[in-house]
Parts: sequence; C-alpha cells; structure tokens
Amino acid sequence: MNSRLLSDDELDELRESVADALLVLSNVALGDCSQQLDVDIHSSNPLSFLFSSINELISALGTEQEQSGAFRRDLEEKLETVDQQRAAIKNLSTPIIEVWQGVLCLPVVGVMDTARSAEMTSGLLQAIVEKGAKYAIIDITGIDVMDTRTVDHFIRMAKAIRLLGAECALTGLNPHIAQTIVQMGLELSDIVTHRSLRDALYRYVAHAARNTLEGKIASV
Amino acid sequence: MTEPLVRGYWITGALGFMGVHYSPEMSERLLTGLPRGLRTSAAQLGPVEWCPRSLHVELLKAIASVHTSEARAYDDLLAYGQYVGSEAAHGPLKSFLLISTLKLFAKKLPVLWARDHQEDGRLESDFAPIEEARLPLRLSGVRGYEHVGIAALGWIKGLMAPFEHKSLRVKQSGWSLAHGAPEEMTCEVAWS
Repeated sequence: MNSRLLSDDELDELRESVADALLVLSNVALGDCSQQLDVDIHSSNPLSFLFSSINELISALGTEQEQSGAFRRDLEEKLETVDQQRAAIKNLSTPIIEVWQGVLCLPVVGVMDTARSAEMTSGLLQAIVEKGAKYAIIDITGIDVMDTRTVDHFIRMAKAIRLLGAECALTGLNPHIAQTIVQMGLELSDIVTHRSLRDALYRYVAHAARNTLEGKIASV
Repeated sequence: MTEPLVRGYWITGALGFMGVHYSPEMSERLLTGLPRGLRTSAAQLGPVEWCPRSLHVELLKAIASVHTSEARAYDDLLAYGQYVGSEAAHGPLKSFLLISTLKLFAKKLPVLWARDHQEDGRLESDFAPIEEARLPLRLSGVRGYEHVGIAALGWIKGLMAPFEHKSLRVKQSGWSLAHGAPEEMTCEVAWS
C-alpha cells in the first residue's frame, strides 16, 4: 500500500489495526488461541477480510490444539498403563515363593540378561534376609537356552546367597542345557544342582523341618 | 472472587533473572527460599499460561529481599522488569514493536498490561506529552501485588529498548520498600 495515498490519520489507523493483529498473533505463536481480532463485518475495508480469515485460522488452530491436547492426554494415560503393566510383568518375572519355613523358591522363565539377573539377585537376597531363609532354590525348568553369561549370572547369584549364610540350589536343568554346559567347559561346581524342583524341595523341606524340630526339642 | 492471574513468562522470567543477575550462591539461596512446588510448577509453565499472582508476588519479594537498602532493592526490581520486557521485545512482541511508533506503543501499553494480567490492576498511559519526550503512567488496583509497580516500570523500559533512545529515565511515586503494594502508583518514563 502506498503511504502517499493515505492521510496521516489513516496511516495511524492502519498501523494500529496491524499492531492489534500482531499482538493477537504473538499470543497465538505462543500457543494461546483464545483471542480474536475485532472485525467490522459490514466494512468493505480489505483489512476486515484479512482479519476475518486470520480469526478463522485462529479458531481452526485452537480446535486442532484442543484435539492434540486430548490425544496427548490419551497417549500419556496409555504410557502410564504401559509403565504399570511393565512393573507388573517385572514383579511376575521374579516371583519368590516361600514354599516352607526357611525355604525359598524362585522359578525362572524366559530369557536371562544382566538387568534381570541383577533384579533377581537383589530380590532374592532381600527375601532371604527378610524371611530368615536357609535355602534358596532357583528353578530353571522354564529356560530353554543357556550361554556362558547366563551361567555366570547364576554363579554370582549363588555366591551372593552363600555370603548371607544360606544355601543355593539350581534345579530343572534340561539335557540340552547340561550338554551345552559341558561342551562349553563351564564351571558349575560352586552351585548345588538337583535334577528336578521336586528333588530339591524333598531335600530342603526335610532339612528345614528337621531344623525346626531340633530347635523345638532344644527349647524344651 | 477469582484469584488474579499473571502470564507464565513473568514467572519463568523471574527465575531466569535470578540465574543471570545474581551469583550462583545467591541465586540458589533465593530459589531454595521459595515455597515448595513453585520451582517444579514453574519449570513446566508455558509463556502464555495463566498462573496465580501469589506465585509472582513470592518471586518479587525474593528479589526485593536481596538488599536491605531501598535504592538497591528498587534497582533489582527494575532490572528484573527490564529483563522480562527485553525478552518480550526480542521475542513475541518484536513485530509489534517494529511497526510501532512511540505514540502507538504508549496507546497500547494498557492493552499489553491487560493481556498479561487477568482480573488484576489497570495501567493507564497519557500519551499527550510524547512530543516532550516523556510518558506519564498510572498503575492502579494493585493492592497486595507487592513490588509489581517497579517491575512494571522496568518491563516498560525493556519494551522501549527497540526505540533506541540514548537515555531512558524512569521515576515513580507511591512505592517504597516498606510500603511495597500501594493501591496505585504514578510513574514516568522520559527519554532523550
């Protein structure tokens, strides 16, 4: 627009209208779509048409913003649910069961990695202390494949358990894992092994029962 | 009665100002002295989000508390306002200030105040003496809004930076450190 065609007053008026629009747009740029430009709908001033279009855009943007806000909230809720489920799965993946007084059992299913091994060790050690357990049975019937690292995790777990004065046994080794351990030359002599969980339970529950009985007799 | 609100950028601006204006020790002392929750809520605050004026008052009081001398407290409050104004002048209000004349700026100051403060105070500007290189202002309805008058004066100073005046002077009456929240204040910005 050529300023020579406008009087000073008209130019001031035009400048003020543009300034008003810029102020509203500055808020829109920061995410506030609640404001609208004043528009005289009966005016034939080109700015009125421009401002009407800007208002429509602001309205559309505001609607989009509300929708994306709703999507975001929905997504956040879903992520929260996923987190809760992940925590539940984590708890389920290391279920420590007190099968008899002083005898704990940890059935392991799935894949062992360093993080899971650390969680298991920490959970088992804590349970041993809390329950005053003398025996911990780790049953790996649910593990199909074992590599050197996995064996190493169990050896470390057993050593840590022994440091607390408890005994650790590994049960449920399948023939395939037994062959692998031998072929790889892995050393499992630090860990007591039993063919099945049943064998280990028979032995340790009997031990625990005998200890309890002896304790009672001694106290009498 | 609804609680008066202020735009979030005044809050985040105050925290930013504390970080750059004071030593790390003083900044940490001021931040830890703030009510619990203010720091965490401020960290998630968007620039145009509304938040309770009471949070802003806590920050203003913290800035005013650094010095016991009234003159130095005044300088700090003014510098804080100028920091916020300058950030706005180089950010969201840049285009507006680029096309503004001093007269238009003075005319729009009440609008600028109102868009930053909901249900709170009223800023009036008398742009008649613009030709004399001065702008008298009156801020009213801000009882309980401690020290905001000086911060507002600094904010106006910061917003006027793009007009590139060699000397920009401000003066006020109505505020003192002991009487930080008068019902109204009169101020003036003059330049050469």
